[in-house]
This record gives sequence, C-alpha cells and structure tokens, in this order.
Amino acid sequence: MGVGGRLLKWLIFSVLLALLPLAYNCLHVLTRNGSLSLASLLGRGELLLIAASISAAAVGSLIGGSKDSLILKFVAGGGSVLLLGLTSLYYVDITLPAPGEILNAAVISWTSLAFFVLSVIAGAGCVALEEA
Amino acid sequence: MEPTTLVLVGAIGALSSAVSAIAAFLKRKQTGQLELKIGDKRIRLSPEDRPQIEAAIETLQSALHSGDSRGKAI
Repeated sequence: MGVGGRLLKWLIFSVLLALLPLAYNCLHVLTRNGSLSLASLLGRGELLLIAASISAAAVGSLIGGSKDSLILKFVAGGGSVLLLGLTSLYYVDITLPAPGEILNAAVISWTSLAFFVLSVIAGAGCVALEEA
Repeated sequence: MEPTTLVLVGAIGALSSAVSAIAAFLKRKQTGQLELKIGDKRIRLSPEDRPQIEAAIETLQSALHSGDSRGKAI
C-alpha cells in the first residue's frame, strides 16, 4: 500500500472513528438543549483524549519498522510523543481543578481543538513514514 | 503555563513530524529508489544498482533466446 492509501486508511479508521463519541455528544446536546456551541461540545477536554490516542497510535506505527530514514523517524516520533505528553498533562490539569477554581470552557475548547489538529498533522507524518 | 504557550510547543512537535515526512519523501524521490514487493519480501533498488540490474536483464534475455530449459521456465 502506498503512502496515500496508508494515510486514507489511518484517517478513516483512526481519526474519524475516534471522533465518533464526539458526534454522539453533539447529538446528545442537540436533543437536550437545542443549542450547540464549541464550549458545550469540547469544554470538558474530550478532544484532548482523542488527540492523545491519535498521537500514541502514530508513535506505535513507527515502532518495529525498517531502519531506513531512522533520524527522520526519530524526529517525527518525537513530535508525536511531545503532543501525547502535552495533551495528557493538559487533560489532567483541567479535570482536577483546585477547590473554588473556575475554568474557562472557551479556552479549553479552543486549546483542545488546536491540539487535535496538531496531533493529526504529527500523526500523518508518522503514518507516512511508517514503512519508509 | 499559558494554553497558548502549550499550543505553540505542540505546534513545534507537529511541524517537526510533518517536515520529517516531507523530507523522507523528497529524499526518496531525489535518489530515485524503486521498491519491489514480491510476496513478503521487499527489494529496494537504487541508481547504484543499475549495472547489476542491466547484467541481470542481459542474462535473462540470453537465457530466453537460447531456449534452454531454464529460459523456458522463466
């Protein structure tokens, strides 16, 4: 399978399937309230967990491959590991607020959206290098 | 740490991954590597292998023209 095929397979079965719980959440919010906003959909940091799982899977795809382009694989894998760490730590940070602390749902939703996009970019790099 | 700083650090990671993938793609294109997959086996050919490939083709052609049993089998 070529790079394009691998990326398409990864996009459908890793990224889009990982987003299914959010689609369900979207339906849930629409059914109960009728008003959908980014903060109501992503304000609890769900997208951070999805971004972490995408980064972890991307790193896993690099392990056990051939030794060609090893340095590039290290760099690409390192980028994904960095994102995995950042998303995991940020999720822990927002789920365990100090007593009396009020979190800004808008900041959380935009930050998690940014992390998700970055994780997809880094993951695509790792998947493209998978058998390179 | 501010969320913006965290996102910027993440952006560096994502960028490095994307650049690595592009660099690997360009490296392959420049060297003109060809990968053949025969069953589970992968054979990678590069421009340096050209003399051996040409010699192998010549051997194959002469075997086919000579009509020996090995050539017929090929």
